[in-house]
Amino acid sequence: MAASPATAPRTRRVLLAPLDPVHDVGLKLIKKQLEARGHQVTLLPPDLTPEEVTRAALAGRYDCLLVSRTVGYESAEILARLADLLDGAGLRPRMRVAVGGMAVRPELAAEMGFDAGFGPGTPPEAAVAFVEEAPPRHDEEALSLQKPDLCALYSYHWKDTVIGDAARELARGIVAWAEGARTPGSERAAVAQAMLVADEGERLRLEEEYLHLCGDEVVAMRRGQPPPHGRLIGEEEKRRALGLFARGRGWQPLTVTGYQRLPVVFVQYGTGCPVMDALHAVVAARWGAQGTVHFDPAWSARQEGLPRGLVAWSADGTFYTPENLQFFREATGNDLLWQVRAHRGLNTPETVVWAAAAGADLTKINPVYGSLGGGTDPERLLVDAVAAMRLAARYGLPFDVVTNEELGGVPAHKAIAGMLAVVATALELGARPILQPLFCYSPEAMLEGYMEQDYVDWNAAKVIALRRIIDAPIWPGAPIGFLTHTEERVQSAVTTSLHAGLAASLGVDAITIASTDEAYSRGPITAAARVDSLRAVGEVFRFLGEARVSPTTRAEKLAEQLLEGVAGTLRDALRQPSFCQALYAGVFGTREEGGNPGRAGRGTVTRSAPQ
Amino acid sequence: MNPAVLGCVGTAKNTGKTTALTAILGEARRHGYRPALTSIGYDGEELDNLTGLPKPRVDVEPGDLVASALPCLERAPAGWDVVADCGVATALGPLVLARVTSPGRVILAGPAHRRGLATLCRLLAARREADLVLVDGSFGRLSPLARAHGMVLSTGAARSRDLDALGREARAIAGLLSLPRERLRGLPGRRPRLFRHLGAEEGEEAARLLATGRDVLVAGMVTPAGLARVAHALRPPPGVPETRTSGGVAGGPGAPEAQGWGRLVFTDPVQLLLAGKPEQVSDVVCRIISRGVRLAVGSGPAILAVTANPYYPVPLGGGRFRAGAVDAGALRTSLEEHLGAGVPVVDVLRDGPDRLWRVVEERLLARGPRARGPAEPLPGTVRAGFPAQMRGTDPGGPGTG
Repeated sequence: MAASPATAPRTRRVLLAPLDPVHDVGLKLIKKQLEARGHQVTLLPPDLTPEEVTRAALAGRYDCLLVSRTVGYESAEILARLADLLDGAGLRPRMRVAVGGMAVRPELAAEMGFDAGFGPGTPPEAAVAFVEEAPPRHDEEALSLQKPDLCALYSYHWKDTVIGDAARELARGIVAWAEGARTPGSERAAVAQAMLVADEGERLRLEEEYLHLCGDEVVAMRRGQPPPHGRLIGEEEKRRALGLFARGRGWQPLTVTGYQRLPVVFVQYGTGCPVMDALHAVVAARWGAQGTVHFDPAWSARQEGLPRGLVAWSADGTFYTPENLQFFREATGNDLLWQVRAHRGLNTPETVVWAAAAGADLTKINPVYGSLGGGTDPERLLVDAVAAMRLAARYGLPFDVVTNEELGGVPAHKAIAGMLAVVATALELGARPILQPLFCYSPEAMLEGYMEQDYVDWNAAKVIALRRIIDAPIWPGAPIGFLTHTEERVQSAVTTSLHAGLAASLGVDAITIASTDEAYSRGPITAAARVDSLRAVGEVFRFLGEARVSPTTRAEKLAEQLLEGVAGTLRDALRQPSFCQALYAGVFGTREEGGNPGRAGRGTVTRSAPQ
Repeated sequence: MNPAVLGCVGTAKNTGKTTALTAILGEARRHGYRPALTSIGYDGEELDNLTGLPKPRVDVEPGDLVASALPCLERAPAGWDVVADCGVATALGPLVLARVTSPGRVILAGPAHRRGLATLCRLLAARREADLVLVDGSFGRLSPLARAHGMVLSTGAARSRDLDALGREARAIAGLLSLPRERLRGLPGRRPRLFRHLGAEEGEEAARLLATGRDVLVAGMVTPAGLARVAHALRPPPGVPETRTSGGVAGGPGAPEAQGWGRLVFTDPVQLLLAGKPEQVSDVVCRIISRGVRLAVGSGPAILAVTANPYYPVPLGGGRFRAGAVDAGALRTSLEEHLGAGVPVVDVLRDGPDRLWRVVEERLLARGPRARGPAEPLPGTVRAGFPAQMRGTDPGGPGTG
């Protein structure tokens, strides 16, 4: 298709020269695209000498010469000779020259005397951009990903009225129950909001107010004491690090290709060091990730209050501090969807505040998992979660509602029922929730044998069931394939990528993937292992294209079973005096099943009026 | 004052051009010169882009000027401040001129072609902040260095373990770089004929014109066939015996100039070096000269020295190499025997950098900018360069190329 007049570039005369004996398919693809855009293209026959190519270039008045050659030791000498001949013939002032080939990199192109070099995997569009002197793909504007809105396509219409009605009734009860309740967490969120708009003097006063709402260890850290096994990153170090990230911009992201609407691929980070986190995120982005998920320390989730400053430590997870979050956003730019999780600890509402202030795109809230699998007291977290959902609605931050309690053994139907109650609550409060079923080899699946036959049906059943319940975005996690990974990196990459292929085939909106060393790493996860998984996922997306993975008829039966279970759980919850009571009573997972109401923050809810 | 421009080129990879460059760089600083550094390729990286072999570091000191692609500087351990955008694009980003503020390693990715190097040299001349521009070559590439003032040629066992062959090649290259300089001035009614390409047909035509006394100027690609046709088509004038030479161009032509024959001038010796294997080109050039034609080049770098590197990489398989070496003394002797006294041979590692530096100082820097040739090292285009050389004469149309 020819370019429209409005976008038509100036017509260029282009000479294409395959220096390889036979391989000129790349140049033929480029020729097709260039001609479609109205350029005059001459494709020379293969296997000409540099002298013959130069002679051909002299014979016409060309704007560009594109050469293809598989580079080996001798080939590089031939290409360098061609560059010299073109220069010596006086052609270079008016003609730009690029080389493409399997071993070509920009550094090698520079060394051989070319204006650009295109390596394997370079799309023909890059060569077209070179010809047209269009801004290269790595320009800031071109690089900026069109960040998708995961919720945009959905109406949140309850298709299963039985489940929908029950969930909404629970939601209304939750909102009413939380009315007038407050916690140190919700109060800190209010202080944090005030801090965002306060002047310096007012901020000092607010800081004192904030400290009164914090635990001792956080108070010490906010007063300058570094965390255990950690340190504060100084201004100079920060400046230099940001400088490095700024210089790193412009690398071309690897394009993950596929014909179907692909899920957004998220990776998780939380090395403990904000600089390393950003580095990992950038590496992942350059290898095709479109989103990142911040993991905070488990320790921090059980503390009242968040530290401040640019803080690194050597244990798991990276601290939520306003400075750490700001650093991440500044270092990584605005190309990636960025999720800051607020789902499980004592700092849920204020995490949403700082996340929104730092420019996060998504958060994560689920008081059911956070209280039954995350260690926080149900009453405390439910109050905080309602406050957090209100804030998320105010800031326009969508959030996923994860069902990680399945990993502890809670049956999927109970976890999904809890998720749906929270989703209904979010909708009641005007927020935009995202369903997050697990794509994992859960204890329930092991005990019940749901995945003995294959890894497809049980995972597919969850998506099928959810699609029948509500028209809402689905983001399996987290990460997909959890508990199917082993210490073998190839196996790990393969199982991740196959789960990704299944997820794509089921038409979900996003997935979170693990690095190939995530299953066994007792320390830092390596960037190379992230690339393993990303490359594998990209290959499976490409492999499947428009094709679909077809579950067996068992998936349908499992989906029906899930629907019945969800409806039953919601009915059971409605019989309890409150949703909070249902959590304590094991409606969404008994202790035997793995649902253990947490203790952190117990007794910290105060109410202005009795409920 | 316009800085001297010195190119370090190699006959192949791993022949020691970057070693020669860094030796000269260090000595230049020691002797109070203000160096500027660039490359026509990509140098200073830890491992070779193709072979994976370790490469010599390019270390800079505060005060040095460096011209490299901005992204390469940004990854350099050395500290620097950009002082100018050169207005030249490279495959790795825009070329900038930077002043080094703290010592360290740099990666050089400079202008890939003549015009880019000319632009950089004009910038350096205008800024008057450098006395000596050191240009690292690449892959045996020469073209961008066509109008450098001097050239140091590195050769050695990485090119060939046949020491005699190395000597013959070095002599041929040195001979072509030492051809007489001639500023072609048209005589009234005898404008030179300009060829932008010297293939077989053009060679025939050039020979015919030369025989009629018309000067011929070649300002484009020269092919072996074109040169051979010139040599073949020319017949010695009556009474002038054809004399074959055995010493290459450096040995000098064996025949007197034929009265009444036109002059054959190439814009620079690099055209001839690009025309084919140096020995073969040298041989054909000798034949043309032996016919009695006055063959010259318009301008071009002088050969200052040849450096000899006895080391070469020995592949071990799996992308691994070990260092092999030929007899260093025998290599030097072979090169000296072939090159004669006119071109010093230096083994940088054994002789130390000062010997190479003395040659550069005596043969390039001590002569001063006027003696080094035109202030502007390179015109924007070949066509644009000619009027200045022709001193107002018309090059004579577009030629047949």
